[in-house]
Amino acid sequence: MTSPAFIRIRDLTKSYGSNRVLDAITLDIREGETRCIIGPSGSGKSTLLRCLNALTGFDSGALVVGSTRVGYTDRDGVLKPWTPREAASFRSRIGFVAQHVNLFSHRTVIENVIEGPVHVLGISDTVARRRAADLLARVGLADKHDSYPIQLSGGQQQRAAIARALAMEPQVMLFDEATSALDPELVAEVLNVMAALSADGMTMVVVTHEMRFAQEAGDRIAVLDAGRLIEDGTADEVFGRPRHARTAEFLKDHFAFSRQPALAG
Amino acid sequence: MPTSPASTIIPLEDRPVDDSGRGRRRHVRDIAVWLVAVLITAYAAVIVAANPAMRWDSIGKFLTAPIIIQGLGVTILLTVASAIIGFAGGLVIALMRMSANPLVRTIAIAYLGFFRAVPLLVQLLIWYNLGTFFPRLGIGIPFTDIGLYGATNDLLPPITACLVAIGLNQAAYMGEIIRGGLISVQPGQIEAATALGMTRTKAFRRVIAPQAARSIIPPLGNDTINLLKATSLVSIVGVGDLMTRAQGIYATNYQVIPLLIVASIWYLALTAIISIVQGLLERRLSIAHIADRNAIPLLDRLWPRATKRQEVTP
Repeated sequence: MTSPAFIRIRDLTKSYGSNRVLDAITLDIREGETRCIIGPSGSGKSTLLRCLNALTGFDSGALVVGSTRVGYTDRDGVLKPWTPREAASFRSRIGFVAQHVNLFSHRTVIENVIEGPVHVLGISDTVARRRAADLLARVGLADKHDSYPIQLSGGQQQRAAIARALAMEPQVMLFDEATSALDPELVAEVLNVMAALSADGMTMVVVTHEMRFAQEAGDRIAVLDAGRLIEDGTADEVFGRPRHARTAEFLKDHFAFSRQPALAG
Repeated sequence: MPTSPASTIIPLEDRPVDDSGRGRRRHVRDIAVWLVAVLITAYAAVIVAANPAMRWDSIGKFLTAPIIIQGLGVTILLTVASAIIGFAGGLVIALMRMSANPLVRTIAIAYLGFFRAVPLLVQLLIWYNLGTFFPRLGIGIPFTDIGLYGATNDLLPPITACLVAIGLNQAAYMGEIIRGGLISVQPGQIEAATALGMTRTKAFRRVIAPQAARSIIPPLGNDTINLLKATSLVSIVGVGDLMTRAQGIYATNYQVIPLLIVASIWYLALTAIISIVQGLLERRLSIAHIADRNAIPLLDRLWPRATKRQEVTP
């Protein structure tokens, strides 16, 4: 690996009671890379993603995003846990798009997009609005500035949520099954926006069940199973020559009743 | 495969439909209901108005009498001040009740338990008579004389005692209403605010509070109306509110019903004002109204799913 990794995950472990949801995950993600994370339900994909923006903590291991040691501040060589303010400030630099669309329901689309820049970053309303207009045009919602979330389709809402996250000019974008809650015919419009973002060189970590997206837009694909990283490689490697029996089984199950024709292999 | 004996084929072709009877039946029923309602109201009006004890002139005279207007002022003051104490206290109680700290939560639960269990009238009498139990009140270091103290009756004149009693009682009910509003906010909205980098305080101010407000308004209006009427209880300790004044007058002129009608008219008017304010607030905060402003057809407002279906992909 030539350039140093942007996100470095080392032996990340997290348990809920006796249930180990993340088991010594070690993974590197380079700047500008789109890393897809796939795996069966309950394998720890979403938890891993939530660790990356400190929405949830972890028990042991270490996590570095950019130049930030997640969860701790170095004070004279000693790591002190973050204050809520430090955690909030870190999150403002990480874009997050959740599975269930959660635009602020009491605000219009453009108000949603400027909310973070104006009220978290302190950018002026005028500047924020101009940038928001660009972003909304980019996700194909130039004509929906003043619509309220309930007036939009699920796909439009999710694209607005992407614009809202981008408005913070994040160092990395995290997608947590961003299309899983959408009606099948709305999935493509959201994936297209994500693919364009990936092509623009945004660093992205994408938890997804959309294997075609993983194959086409993902630079590398990581497979999680029962909290363990069982596979990590390019699409050809993971889909074509899975090294782990569980990967092969998962892919077989996934494609057994899929809308899409079987892919590689 | 179950072969039903009813193998008669029901034709699908159009046949003339006559549903004129349906509309007519409803029409007849509506007229009957109106007729009964009008008759009952007219009868009630006649027996009240024709009653020799009904002194219309007294009602007219006392409705705007200075003494009644003064009482009205006290009632309004008590209502507004207790509503403010109740809302502020209720917010604190609601947040304490939702705290992660079990001790803080227990204190809130104990508060709710006490103030919702003891009748307001009893609480009113307790605060009013506090002077007979603790002659002196103040703040200072326990078990010493160091601190600021004063005679209870000076610190708690009757009106203040009433305000404290009603305000603290109101805080308990408001606390539960506010908590109901706060838990009605979707967890995803809070997560989105957090993921955007908002601190807890900012997320509360920018996202949680405005959304909770929407579901708080109807019970808030309800409770404020109850509060207004509950202030009439202070007449038991003679604090000179609308009810006390009405009682004072009929104690001397024996026109009980006319003066109770005077009081009722004013309570009705104040309740109407609260209802109107509630309606305006609800309209302002409701998403349905916002949608209305942007001309979404009624059907889609009632059933947003329909809108989503139509607007698939630009």
